[in-house]
Amino acid sequence: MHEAPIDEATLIEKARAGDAGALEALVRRYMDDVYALALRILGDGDQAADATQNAMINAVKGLSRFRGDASFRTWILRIAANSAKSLGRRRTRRNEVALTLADNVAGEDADPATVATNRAEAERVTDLLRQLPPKQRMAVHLRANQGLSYAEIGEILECSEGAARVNYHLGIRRLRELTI
Amino acid sequence: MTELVCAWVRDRLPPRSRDGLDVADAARLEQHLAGCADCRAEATLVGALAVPVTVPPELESHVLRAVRKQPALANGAGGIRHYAVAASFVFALLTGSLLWQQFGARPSPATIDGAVEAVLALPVGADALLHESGLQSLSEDELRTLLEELGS
Repeated sequence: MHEAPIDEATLIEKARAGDAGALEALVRRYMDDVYALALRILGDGDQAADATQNAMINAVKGLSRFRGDASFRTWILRIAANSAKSLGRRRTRRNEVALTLADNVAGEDADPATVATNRAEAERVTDLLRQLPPKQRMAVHLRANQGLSYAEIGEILECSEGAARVNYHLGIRRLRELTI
Repeated sequence: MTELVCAWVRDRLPPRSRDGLDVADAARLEQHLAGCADCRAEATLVGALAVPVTVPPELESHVLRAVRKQPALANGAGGIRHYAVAASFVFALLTGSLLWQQFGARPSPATIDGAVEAVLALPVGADALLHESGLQSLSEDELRTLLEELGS
């Protein structure tokens, strides 16, 4: 018999009370989203991993300040965006994009043809996204890849819902121009 | 009119690729896509953008190790409670000292001893406010002197 999954509000409450298991469950729950966003911002797997670790530590340190005004996912993604941008500003070499999204596509257990198609598609998308300004790139990723609403994207990018919508659509329009 | 429909469809392409739409919206959207090459092209692009990313397998254990080293976790719930009690004790003593300066109620040596122990027991970095105030960097003697000065 399986245990019922613990709802997020309970996990947060327990984590804030010092429950290590609850805190680790929260970290595990958002690891993929945080890493994916960091990878889109930084374009490098190793740096995205560092940014993910920084973001998770910052989230743990700041958990007592989470008031629940936004969703926990939005809150932690905002921390992730800031951690990745901060790391990006600190990097000294500008041409070290060695590991790209193409090395991190899901479906490695699928058949070889599917894996090859996913890799090729992911590589193409990564190359295209790299040509967008940062806010458009993040808005496109958060909307198309993580399925966030414009209001949530606005909270993460620290802009209005309308600006998030415009950034997404400008980004998509630019990507379509690039693919013609 | 067509442009309005196209805008409605394009706004729903991300949820179509990720979590799906309700039956009515999905039917309306697919019907439009069948007859609109421009929206089909955008649907293909959005579908490609939705390709999920896999976290490197070693990252989770690496991050969890780093998280476990954070003071709040290293000390567990008991640590946090202990810290809160100690911080309250110090705050009460400092406040009491200020009140004494105003109204003449002097803290006893036993109270000072308790406060010194409480401050020394605070986990380093557990609280930004007290950490930044420098209280935790003081030696026992320095702390005792400060508290006595506040109470004298």
